[in-house]
Amino acid sequence: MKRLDKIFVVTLLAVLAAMAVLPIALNLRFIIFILTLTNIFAMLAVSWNLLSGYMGLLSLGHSFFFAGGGYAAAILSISYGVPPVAAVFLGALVITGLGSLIGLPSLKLRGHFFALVTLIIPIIAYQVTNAIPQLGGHDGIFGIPSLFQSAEAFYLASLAAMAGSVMVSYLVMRSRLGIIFTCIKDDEIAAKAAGIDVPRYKLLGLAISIFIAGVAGAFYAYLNGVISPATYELEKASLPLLMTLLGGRATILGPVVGAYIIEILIETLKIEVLVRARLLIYSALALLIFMIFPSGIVGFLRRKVYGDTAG
Amino acid sequence: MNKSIKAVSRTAVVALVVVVIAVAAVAGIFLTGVFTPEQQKRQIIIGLSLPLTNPVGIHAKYAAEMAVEEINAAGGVVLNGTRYELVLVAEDTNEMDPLIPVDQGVTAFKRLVEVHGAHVIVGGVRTDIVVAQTQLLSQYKIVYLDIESNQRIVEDLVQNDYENYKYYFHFFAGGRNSSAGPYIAAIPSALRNAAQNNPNYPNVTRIALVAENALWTVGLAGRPAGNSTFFKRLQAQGFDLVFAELYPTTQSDFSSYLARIKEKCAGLIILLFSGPPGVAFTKQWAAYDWSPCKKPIIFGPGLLGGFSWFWTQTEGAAQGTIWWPATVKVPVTPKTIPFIEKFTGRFKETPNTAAFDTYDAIYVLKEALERANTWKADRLVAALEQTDYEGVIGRIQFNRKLHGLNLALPNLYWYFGQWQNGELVPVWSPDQPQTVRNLVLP
Amino acid sequence: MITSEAAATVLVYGFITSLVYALFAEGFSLIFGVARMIDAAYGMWYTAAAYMSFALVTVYNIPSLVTFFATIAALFAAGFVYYWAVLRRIKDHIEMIMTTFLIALVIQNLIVLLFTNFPWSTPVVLPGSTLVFGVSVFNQQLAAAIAASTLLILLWLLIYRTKVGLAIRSVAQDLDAAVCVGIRPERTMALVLGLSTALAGLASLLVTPQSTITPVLGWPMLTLAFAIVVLGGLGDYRGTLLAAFVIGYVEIAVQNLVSPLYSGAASLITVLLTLWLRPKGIFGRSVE
Repeated sequence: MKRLDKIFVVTLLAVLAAMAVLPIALNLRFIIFILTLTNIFAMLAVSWNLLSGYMGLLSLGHSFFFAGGGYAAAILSISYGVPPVAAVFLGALVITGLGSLIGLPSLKLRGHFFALVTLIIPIIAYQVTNAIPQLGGHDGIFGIPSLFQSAEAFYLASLAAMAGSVMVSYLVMRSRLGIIFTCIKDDEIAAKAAGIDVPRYKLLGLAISIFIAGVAGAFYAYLNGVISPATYELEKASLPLLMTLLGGRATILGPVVGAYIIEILIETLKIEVLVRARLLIYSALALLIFMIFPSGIVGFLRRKVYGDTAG
Repeated sequence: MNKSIKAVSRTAVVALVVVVIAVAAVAGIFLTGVFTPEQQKRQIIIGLSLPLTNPVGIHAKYAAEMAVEEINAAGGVVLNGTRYELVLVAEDTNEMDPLIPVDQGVTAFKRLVEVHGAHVIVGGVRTDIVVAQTQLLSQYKIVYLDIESNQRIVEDLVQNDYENYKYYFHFFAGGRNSSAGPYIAAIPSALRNAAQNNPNYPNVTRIALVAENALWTVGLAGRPAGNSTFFKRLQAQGFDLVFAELYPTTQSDFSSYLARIKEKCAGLIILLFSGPPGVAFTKQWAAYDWSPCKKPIIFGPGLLGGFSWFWTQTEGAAQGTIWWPATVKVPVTPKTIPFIEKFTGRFKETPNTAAFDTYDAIYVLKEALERANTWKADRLVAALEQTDYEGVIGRIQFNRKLHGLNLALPNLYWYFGQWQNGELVPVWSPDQPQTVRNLVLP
Repeated sequence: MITSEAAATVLVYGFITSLVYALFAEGFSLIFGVARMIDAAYGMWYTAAAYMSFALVTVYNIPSLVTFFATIAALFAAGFVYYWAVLRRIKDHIEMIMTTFLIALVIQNLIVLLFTNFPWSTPVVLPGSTLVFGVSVFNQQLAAAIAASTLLILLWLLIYRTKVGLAIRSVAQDLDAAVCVGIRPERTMALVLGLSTALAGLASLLVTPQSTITPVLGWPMLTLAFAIVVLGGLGDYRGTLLAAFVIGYVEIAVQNLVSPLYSGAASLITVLLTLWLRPKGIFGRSVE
C-alpha cells in the first residue's frame, strides 16, 4: 500500500504541474478560462464535501455562501476600496461570520430540518438582494475590478486556491478534527456520550466549509466582473452536490474529479447541432453516470485499488 | 441493479465510460476547433450570443440568417476590392432563464471569439449578461452589436469610458436618446382628452403603477415605486398616482394587486414588464370583476406584450391592452413591410423586435465593414460611427457621441399598439401626441 | 389603520392560497411521512402536469375535462412507475435527493426542448370572477378552492377511514410491524407515490390556468412544499394543513400590507424562526 500511495502522490503532483504549465505554454486562452471556472467550482464542491460528505450535514444551499462571498468581496472592493486580493479573503471572512451566525441556531436541527434550512436561506437571500437597491437589486453589481491583469495569472491563482482547498480538506480529515467529524457523522449521540462538544465542532466544520465556498465565490465574482442574485439560485446550489456525488462523496479528490467531468461534459456538448438538446443530453448523461456509480467515480476506483473492505 | 452491474464487471463499464468521455472531449475540442483556429480567408465571422432555446433568440437568429443570405447572394462584403462572405456562428447563453447566472453568457462570448474566431459579436438580451460581456470588449478589441437589451448602462459607459467601451453599439430602444419615457408621459393626457368626449372611459386621471423589480424600471418607476420625476410631472398635470408597487419577477398571482387597484378605483394601469408575470397580470386583469368602477386601461412598455404570440399566450385576454414596443405592420420605411412579409412567409411567425434589430444590425455592419475596409475593431468602430442607414426599424444614425438609437426620427419604436381581435393596431405615436386613434375600450 | 377592504382581501385570498398550498403540500407530506423519502422531483410533477394539459388542450384540441382526467391518470401512473423503477432501489438520502433532482432536470430540459422556455399558458376553464365578501375572486380560483377543500377531505377520509389508509398509516408508523401483520410495504409505497404525484398534478391544474407556465415553474413550488412539510412536523396530515395556512396567510398578508417584494422571504423567514424555536416543527414528530 505504501508504494501505491507514493506513486499516487507523485502522479498527482505531475498532473498538477502539467495543468499549471501546459495550457499557458500552448497559449490556449479559451481552455484557460474554462479551467479557471472549473477550479472555482471544484473549490465549491470541496467545501460542500467537507460539510455534507464528511460531517453528514446535508447542505442544499451552498450557493448562499458562494454568492455571499462574491457579493461581500465585490462590495468591499467597490464601495470600500479594499484591494481585490485582500477583498477575496475579507469577503470570505464576512460571509463566514454571517453564515455561522445563521448557522448557529440551525446546527441543533437534525437531518432533514437542517437540509431545509439550508435550502431556504439562499432563497431568502435572493429575494432580499432583489428588493434592496444598495445590494445591486435584480441586476446585480457591475464593474467589479479584476483580480489580476492577465488571465494566466488568474488561472494559476485559481489552481493554487483549488489545490490549497484540497490540502485543507486533506489536513483537516487527517487530523484529530477529521476523526471527530466522522464520529459526529456516524453517531451524534455516541459522540456526545464520548465527551465531544458536538455543537462546537459542527460550527467549526461549517465555518471552514463556508470560508472555502466564500473564497470560491469571490474568485467567481472577479472572473466575471459581475455578480447577480441569480448566483444564489438552484443552479449553483445543485452544482457542488452533482460534482461531489459524481466524483465521490467523502473522498478527498472526488469533488475535483467531479467538477472536471461536469465541465468537460458541458463544454463538449456545446456543438452547433446539439443546440436545443444540449441541456437534455447533459442532464441525462449526469443521471446515467450517477446511476452507474452511486458512490462516485473516485469512491469506486478506491474500492477497486484498495479492495472492497477499505471502501 | 447491483447484481446485474456486478455481473457485467464494473471495470469494463468504467473503462467504457472513461473512453467515451475522452473520445467525446477530444472530438469536441477538434470539432469546435480549439487547436485549429484556422485563419479563414475571405470570410467574416459574425458570432451570435443569444438564448437559443427561447423565441427571442430564435427570431434574432432567423433574422441574422436572412440578412446574411441576402448579403452573400448580392455579392457579399467587398473589402479593398476583395469579396468576402459573411458567416454566422451561434452560442447559446440560455439567458432568458432568469435563474441562470452570468457565467454562461461570459463563456458563450469567449467561445465565440476564441473557439469560433468571430470578428464581430451580435447579441445581448439580459442586462447583467450584456454588462458582463461588454467588460471584455477592450481586452478582445471586438465590436459588439446589442440587439435587445433595454438599458442605457453601457451606452453611458461609452460616454464615460470611451476607450474601453467604444466597441458597443445599441440597436434597441431604451438607450440614452431612445427612452420611451416621454411617450409614456404623453399618453395619459391623450387618453384624458379622449375621455372628455366619451363617457364610457374609466377615470384615467387615477393612475396605478405596477412595475417589474428590475434595473430598467428604476428611472421610470423610481425607488420606492412612484418616486420618480416622471410621476411628479404627471401629478403636476393633474393626475393622481393612487397605487404604486413593484412585483418580483417570480410573481404569478396578482389578485392582491388588482384588489388594491380596484379599491382606489384607478382608471389607468401603467404596467412595466418584460417577463412571464406580464402575461399572468394581463389574464388576471381581464378576468377580474371591476364593478362598481370601470375596467381600467392597461398600457406600458412590455416586451412580450408587443410580440405576436401575446394574443395566443393570453387566450385573447390581451384585448384592449396597449404596448410598446409593438411590432405593428406600419410602413416605417419602404423596407419594413417587405421584411415582415418575407420573415413571416419563411418562418410562419411574425418577427419580434429582436428580429427587426438583428436584421438591421447585420446590414449596418455590412456597410461599416465596407467603409472601414477591415473588421479590425478600431477602424470598424470609426466606420460604425458614420452610420446613416435606413433600415426596417427606421433611420439608424450613430456618431462619436451616441452609440445608441436616435428616436427623434420616425421609426418602429414610435408606435404604441393596442391588441384588437388578434391584431396589434397602432393607436398612438408622437407625431400626434394629444390624441389617440382607433382606440377600443377593454 | 387597516381598512376593512384590505382585511377582507387578506382573509379571502389567504384562504384560497392556503387551500391550494395545502393540497400540494399534502402530497409531499405523504411521501415524506410514509415512504421517508425526499422527492426532489416533486415540483417537476407540478410543471409536467401543466405542460401536459397545455399540450393536450392547445396543441391537440382535446376538451378541457377529458384533459383534466387524462393528466391526473397519467400522473398517478407515472408516480407508480417512478416508485417501482427508481425510488425503490435507493436507500441513502443524499443519493435519493440527487437522483430525483437529476430526473427533474432531465424532464425539465425535455420540456424546454419540446416547448422552448417561452412562457405559455393553458386556457382558463371558468372565465370571469365573482364577488366573495366584497372581494373579487376569479372563478377559476373559486373552483380551485372548492375542489381543493373537497380533495383534502377525501384524502383525510382515505387515510383515516379506509383499509388502504390503515395500511398507509401502519407503514408510516412502523415498517417492520406492518410487514408482520401482512401489509406489503412496497405496494403501499407505490400507491403513496402515485397519490402524491396526482396531488401535485391536481394542484397544478387548478392554479396554472390563471397564470403562465414556464419550465422552471416547479422549483419554487418544491421549496414551498418542503417548507410547509417541515414546518408542519414532517409527514403529519394536520400539521401540514396548519403549516400551509400559516405560510399562505403570511404571504398574502405581507403582499397586501407591506410589500409584495418581501412576501416570499417573509414566509420562509417564518419557517426559519419557527424551526429555531421549535426544532421539530409545529407537530413535532421525530423522523430522521
